[in-house]
Amino acid sequence: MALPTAEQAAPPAGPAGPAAPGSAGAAPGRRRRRQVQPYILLIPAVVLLAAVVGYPLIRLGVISTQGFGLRTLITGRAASVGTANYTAILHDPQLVPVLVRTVVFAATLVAGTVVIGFGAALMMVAAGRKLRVAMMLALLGAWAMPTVASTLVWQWLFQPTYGVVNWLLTQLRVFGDVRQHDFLAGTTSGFVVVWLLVVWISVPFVALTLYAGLSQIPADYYEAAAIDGAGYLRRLRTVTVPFLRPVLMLVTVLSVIWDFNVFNQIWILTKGGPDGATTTIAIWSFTQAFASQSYGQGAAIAVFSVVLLAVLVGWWVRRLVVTGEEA
Amino acid sequence: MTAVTTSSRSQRQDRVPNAPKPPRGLPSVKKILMVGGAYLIALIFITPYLEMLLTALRPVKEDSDPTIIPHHFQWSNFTSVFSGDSSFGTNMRITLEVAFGATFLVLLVALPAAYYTARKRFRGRKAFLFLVLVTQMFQPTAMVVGIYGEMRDLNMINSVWALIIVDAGFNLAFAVWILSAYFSAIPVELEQAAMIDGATRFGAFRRVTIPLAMPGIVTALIFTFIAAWNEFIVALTLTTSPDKAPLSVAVDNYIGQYTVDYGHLFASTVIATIPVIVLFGLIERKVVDGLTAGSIK
Repeated sequence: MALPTAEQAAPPAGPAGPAAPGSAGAAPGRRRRRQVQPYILLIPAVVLLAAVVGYPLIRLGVISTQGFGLRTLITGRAASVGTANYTAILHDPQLVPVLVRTVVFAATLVAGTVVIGFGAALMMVAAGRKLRVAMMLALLGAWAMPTVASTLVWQWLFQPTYGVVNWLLTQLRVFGDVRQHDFLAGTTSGFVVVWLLVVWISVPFVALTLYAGLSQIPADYYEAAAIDGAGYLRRLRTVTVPFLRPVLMLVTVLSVIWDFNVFNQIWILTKGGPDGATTTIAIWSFTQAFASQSYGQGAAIAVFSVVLLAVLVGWWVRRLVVTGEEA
Repeated sequence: MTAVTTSSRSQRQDRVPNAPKPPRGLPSVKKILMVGGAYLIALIFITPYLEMLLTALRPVKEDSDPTIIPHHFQWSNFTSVFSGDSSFGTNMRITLEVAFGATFLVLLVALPAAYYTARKRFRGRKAFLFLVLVTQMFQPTAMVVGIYGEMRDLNMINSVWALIIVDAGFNLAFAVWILSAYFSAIPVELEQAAMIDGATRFGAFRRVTIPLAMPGIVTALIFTFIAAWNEFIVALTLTTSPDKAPLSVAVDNYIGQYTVDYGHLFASTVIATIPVIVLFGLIERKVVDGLTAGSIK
């Protein structure tokens, strides 16, 4: 007999169990009411999203087809320019480097966040109660800190002369004396500092969500796997990951979306510099809109990036929805 | 399963190089790695927090001292953020109202939506779930222009309700998806059994499904609460005076154009983080004890 897998572990779908009275012999009228019910229960969510996201979205779409510049703010009138803003950004020589940078940045961030977050969740399970609570508090402290403050503290840690990290690296005597080194001024080291900060901020969410997911796995499956002689890594692969897959994929997809759009941390630390080394598509959209006062182009970049992101994660989300149907 | 397959499996297992069987009595390599890693992660995540606390406690005249721990602790930063014409107490109250309001609204709206997407197969289910996720793909900075116009038209500038609604909308996606995943994992037979015993559909949902999905509900709750607690861009746009703004905006006021008041900034940040920790302390038992259901030790 093989080790239990997700397919076997998942409860039998459909009416395999004892049928509830009423559900089998329901009157046609009642059945129709049941058909309508889901839509009724979805309405609050749809209304909320339409008000908070839908309406601003239409505004964004309209602005992206207008020559919405500084003059518009004064006169209150914006001329429609059709697709000119889109043509402009598609022919902008910055487009390709920005896209490549955004994808590399997001991919390395997602990999770091999910691997470290998953590791931390497994460690929380293995740790004793006191250590587990200590880990949770440390993670929660990092998560609950306002972004502005955590970014500034990070800047503080890497500061020339007073930075704790500069001091620590100097003590290691591997890199020489780096006490005066400005990490944010180098293109690679600036990228690394931003990466560390974003991972540090994102890991708590992934770790605590996966930890909650781990708590749902019935102990029987681990016992069965242990009887079959499976070691820790094998149990991880055959029991933990299949069970955790829906939650694991959800946090991965959300990490992709959020890391693609990271803005605050980059803006406060480097403003997209040095030499545009940390200018991702979010930074580009913002600088086009507000620094170059070309709101139309900024909006066009924002719409373009959402379409790109929707296509990128679209097939993945399909799989997510299908996974949900199997369970 | 037969004894033969079991033994052959365990033999095969013994040959896996990275799964060594330690002698009895000694802690296993895995245990050492896991616990060591746990300490390391706790340390890495607490360090910036400690640095913040130490900076808030450091007297101004020691600012350029190269020591990590200040020679004297100065607690006045923690009291002076509340004194004078500071509206810190009001900002804290607004933040609490916004965070609790948004969390309540998200759960109120997400629970039924997630339950029905998990239990029913209806037309548009996939489209609904995908559209909910698409709402996460927009930059808040790209949305503020539209949100500001909308709230101005509704006469809701400086209103706590505006922030509650926007924060709830921004964070609904995660709640719907995670709750839907948890509800899907709960066997429908458990609800049917409760209904045979005379419970209504809602009764079965409340007494059977909700308790079993508690880790997911707590995750959605913490996520929404923290996101609403720290939301900055929209709060900055929708509030015009310091005594109408939440903490995230008030904290930002310590950052001037040329200088940053690190002492007050970090003191107020430490104070601002405490309510989240307290909230977690209140519901921590739910998360930690969720593990009694299963364990991979």
